[in-house]
Amino acid sequence: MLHTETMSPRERVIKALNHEEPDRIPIDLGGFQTGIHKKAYQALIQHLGLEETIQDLDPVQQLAIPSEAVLEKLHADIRYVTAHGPDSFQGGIELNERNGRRWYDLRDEFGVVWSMPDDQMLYMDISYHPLADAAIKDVENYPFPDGSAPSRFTGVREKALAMRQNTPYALSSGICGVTYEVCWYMRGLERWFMDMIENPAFCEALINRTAQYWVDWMTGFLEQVGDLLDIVMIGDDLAGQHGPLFSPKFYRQVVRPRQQRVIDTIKKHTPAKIWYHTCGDCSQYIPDLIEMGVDILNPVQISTRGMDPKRLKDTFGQNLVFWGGGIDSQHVLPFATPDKIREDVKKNVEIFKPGGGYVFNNVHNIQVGVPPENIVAMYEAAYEFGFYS
Amino acid sequence: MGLEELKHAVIDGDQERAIDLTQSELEMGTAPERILQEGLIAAMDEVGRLFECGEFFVPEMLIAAHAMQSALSLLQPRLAAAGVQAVGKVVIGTVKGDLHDIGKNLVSMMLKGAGFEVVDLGADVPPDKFVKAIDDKAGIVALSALLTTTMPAMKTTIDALVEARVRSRVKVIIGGAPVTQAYANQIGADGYAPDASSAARLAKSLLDVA
Repeated sequence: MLHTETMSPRERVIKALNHEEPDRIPIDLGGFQTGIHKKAYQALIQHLGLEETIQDLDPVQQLAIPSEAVLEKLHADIRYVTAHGPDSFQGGIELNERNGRRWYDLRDEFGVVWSMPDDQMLYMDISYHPLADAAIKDVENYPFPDGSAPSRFTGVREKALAMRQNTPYALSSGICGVTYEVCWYMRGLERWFMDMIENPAFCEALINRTAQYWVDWMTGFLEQVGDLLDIVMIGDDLAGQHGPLFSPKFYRQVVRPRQQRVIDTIKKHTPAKIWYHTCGDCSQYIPDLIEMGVDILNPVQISTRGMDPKRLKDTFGQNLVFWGGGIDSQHVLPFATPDKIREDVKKNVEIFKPGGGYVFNNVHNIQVGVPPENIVAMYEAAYEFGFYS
Repeated sequence: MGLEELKHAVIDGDQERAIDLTQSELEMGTAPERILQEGLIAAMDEVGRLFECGEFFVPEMLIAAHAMQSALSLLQPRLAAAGVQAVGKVVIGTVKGDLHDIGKNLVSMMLKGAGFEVVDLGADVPPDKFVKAIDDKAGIVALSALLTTTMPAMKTTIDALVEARVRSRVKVIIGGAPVTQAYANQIGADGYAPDASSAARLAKSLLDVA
């Protein structure tokens, strides 16, 4: 059956985010948690017969910026507006030799070093945690980056304004507001987890600083583009595949109040919807997120026990938009046939789409080794089965 | 009683107390094997149970494992002197191409807590390194992968064990975010565990350890 679009991409996204049925479900590709690895993207453009120079979105996750040609072909309705480092930050990627291998090393603004061997090119993992041996006093004295430095946002308004005026797409920020995770990047995950029990005052000292950084950053960013954005994307992974990674009591006492500060800052500066990313079975935390003012949940890891699409839609669908969960990325998308992909996308889309409140994406970024035929089958199915009438 | 106290110190992750209590048990002449079994292993067994029923999370498991390891380091020379053998030997690593090691480290800690000798080869381990690490005592090879992209290296590693004619001498267990029992069956592994605590239980059952 031939379907006709009757809305602009932006109208479609806004309607869906307001829990109303647009002409079809909106489709996303190209975000920091809804994107595609450069190697998978290379295979995709080859399959589509396109010749492009691939642009980098995120060196840590090795994500590509999909071209307009690809985004249009796959019916993507959202485009991204990102800020950059301040002029004072002399970051960059160096190639260094260690242990008989060559490594790409990236030192970020927080002093965390991310590394990747040049013979693999999959991801950058953390190789240096600047606060690994720190005491509370060291955290207080640590030279944190200035979130409000105006040079971070130079040119961002002009770019966003041009996108708003000259394109029909909904506009989203890149990922920001990563309040909790930056703490363990700086401390080291194991040490940070042990601090939660042995030294919670350390955790509070550190998360106070990351929260302040993001409050300042949000203020600066949203003063520039708060009136132009439709979505602000924040996130901190709270759950693993079997539920919360750490105790919900710690979350509610220590983490949530700091995330709330960041959310309140966003709400003060923009009417944009708040999109929150946490992997895993986060079903226990969904009521918290709704109370905190989160509008949208991503990536909706449907293969985990508590994240059954029907249960999620029935229980939380009135209050929360689901953005993702279109297909199981761990067990189906990389390995199944295009026919099976189509079948699974149809099944999930039919559960999530009634009443609006759904934006299509798979679960998290498309990884290396996902056959391009499967990517195309997934997006074609999302388009075809996404229409409301 | 002392061993019960030691067990609780480990469950609570109280490292200093676990060390002090182990020391005083040794001084009182308690057999090192009893300290291991009734103090440390019993504690980690309970930690695993609490984790699986959702009362403990990764941080609680980590601090308990650290307390256990500190006490075990103190105990180890005495166990060796008394000729006490580990319940089995496990060679563990994250497979070639995959640099992630947090999950693997947790499994390694829980295996030690269950009384196993663990040889941890680290992350991004090529198949031949697993092959070389298998000696007469090794009963289990434990493979970890976080990515769908690197999962196939589990099969390559098993193939290398077959080629080197050591596959029949060991049980192979696998785990990691995208891994399933179906995948274990497909590549001819002997078992799959969804988390660190059940990995330790699986290892014990494969080697018929009580």
